[in-house]
Amino acid sequence: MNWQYISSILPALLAGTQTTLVIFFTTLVLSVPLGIVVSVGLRSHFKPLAWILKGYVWLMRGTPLLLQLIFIFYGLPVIQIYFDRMSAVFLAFVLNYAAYFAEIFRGGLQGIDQGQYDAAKVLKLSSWQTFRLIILPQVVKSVIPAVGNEVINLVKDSSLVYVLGIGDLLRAGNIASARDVTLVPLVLVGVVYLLLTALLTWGLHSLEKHYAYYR
Amino acid sequence: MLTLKNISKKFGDRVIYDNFNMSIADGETVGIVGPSGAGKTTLLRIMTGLEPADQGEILLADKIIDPYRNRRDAGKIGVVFQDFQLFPHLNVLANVMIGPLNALAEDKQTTQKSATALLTQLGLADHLQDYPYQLSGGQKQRVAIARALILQPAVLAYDEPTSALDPAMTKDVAALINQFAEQGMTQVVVTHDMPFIDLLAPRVIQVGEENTDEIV
Ligand SMILES: Nc1ncnc2c1ncn2[C@@H]1O[C@H](COP(=O)(O)OP(=O)(O)OP(=O)(O)O)[C@@H](O)[C@H]1O
Ligand SMILES: [Mg+2]
Repeated sequence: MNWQYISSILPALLAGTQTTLVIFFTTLVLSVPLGIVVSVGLRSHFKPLAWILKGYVWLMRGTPLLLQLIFIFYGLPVIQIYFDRMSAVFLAFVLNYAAYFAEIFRGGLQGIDQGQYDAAKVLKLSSWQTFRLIILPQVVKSVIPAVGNEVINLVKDSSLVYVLGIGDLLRAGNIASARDVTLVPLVLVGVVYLLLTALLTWGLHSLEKHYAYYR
Repeated sequence: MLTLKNISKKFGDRVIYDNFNMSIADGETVGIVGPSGAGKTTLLRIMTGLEPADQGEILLADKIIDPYRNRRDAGKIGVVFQDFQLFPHLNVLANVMIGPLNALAEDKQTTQKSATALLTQLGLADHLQDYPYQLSGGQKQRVAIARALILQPAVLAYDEPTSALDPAMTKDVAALINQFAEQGMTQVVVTHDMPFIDLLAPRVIQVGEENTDEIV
């Protein structure tokens, strides 16, 4: 290892890491709430809505995210629908991850005893109060492990933006590796991904611990 | 006075109630008994607005109420569920406070004071900060009672109050219900536990098989 070389490529890798983190956090912040909304819609008694959302989840989970990215950025222009690179990334990632989160939250909602809704009703709570104060906190606890898996996947999936020529962490490493004919940048890229996932794993464990105060 | 008038209820083809009538005077404690599957829980759910009746009216103090569709009427009849249905993520105090705090938008201090007083009366002063999983069956039940009572319901309804308790606790619940009766509370006790009903000695309304096995 040559420290001078490492420090010379570090700025490019950090810039790539920044892009990766922007994609990660933007996707997370938008797809989790959207996933919750979709999960509630999936259980709607208004059948057409439930069917449409089921179709959406099926489509998003049944096809590769990579295909969705390519479809939105390279495919849609064929029918005169244009997105700039980052918008295409956010659209594909948010729609895709919201579908996964929706399935997870739907399972969580299903695990809540109907009696909890009954108890809330006779305590005069509104449906919104019931959802916010009674149902959601219990669902959140039950879905942390599954959501955690998806969050870790998201960090790694963010490297798929490579196909749109976006300068994320992986691309930065790959460029340096090809240019300088060395494995060092790719090893460093791996180390950064490991650090990110280790940090997230730790965060998820703390969250699980925080919710361990009741059973 | 709570009156159920001409209540009919079917599940699919199965007739549970066909023009059923009953009335409970203010301050009265009534037992609703009948074999398993007779429709006791269904009756309790209809009067508390958890299940719609196909037909008929519910009157409270001579006014028609619709607790199923109208949230203002929900909670006029409090419920102690068979499995209590405490909120597992809230401690005892929060379980009792959540109704008045949110539904009635009462201020926190007032609510906390009345919740603490109520829980203390029910012997739970040492458990205010406990979570439901840390409580015995009898303690959970008293939290459920406090949670219902704090909304000052016109009637308090219990579904099978002895079923989730060990037999030794039966006397304690009976004593509590009798004490409430003496204080003039209007109560409905759904049960098929006849020895328990003997401890309460209320007026008994029989929900019979004649309601249950007809096929229309
Ligand atoms: N939501 C429902 N859908 C269909 N059938 C139902 C529903 N709820 C209750 N039933 C049926 O209605 C009948 C009466 O049920 P209910 O729970 O009121 O009986 P119960 O008298 O409380 O019985 P138990 O003593 O066992 O608690 C039963 O045959 C039951 O299967
Ligand atoms: Mg029952």
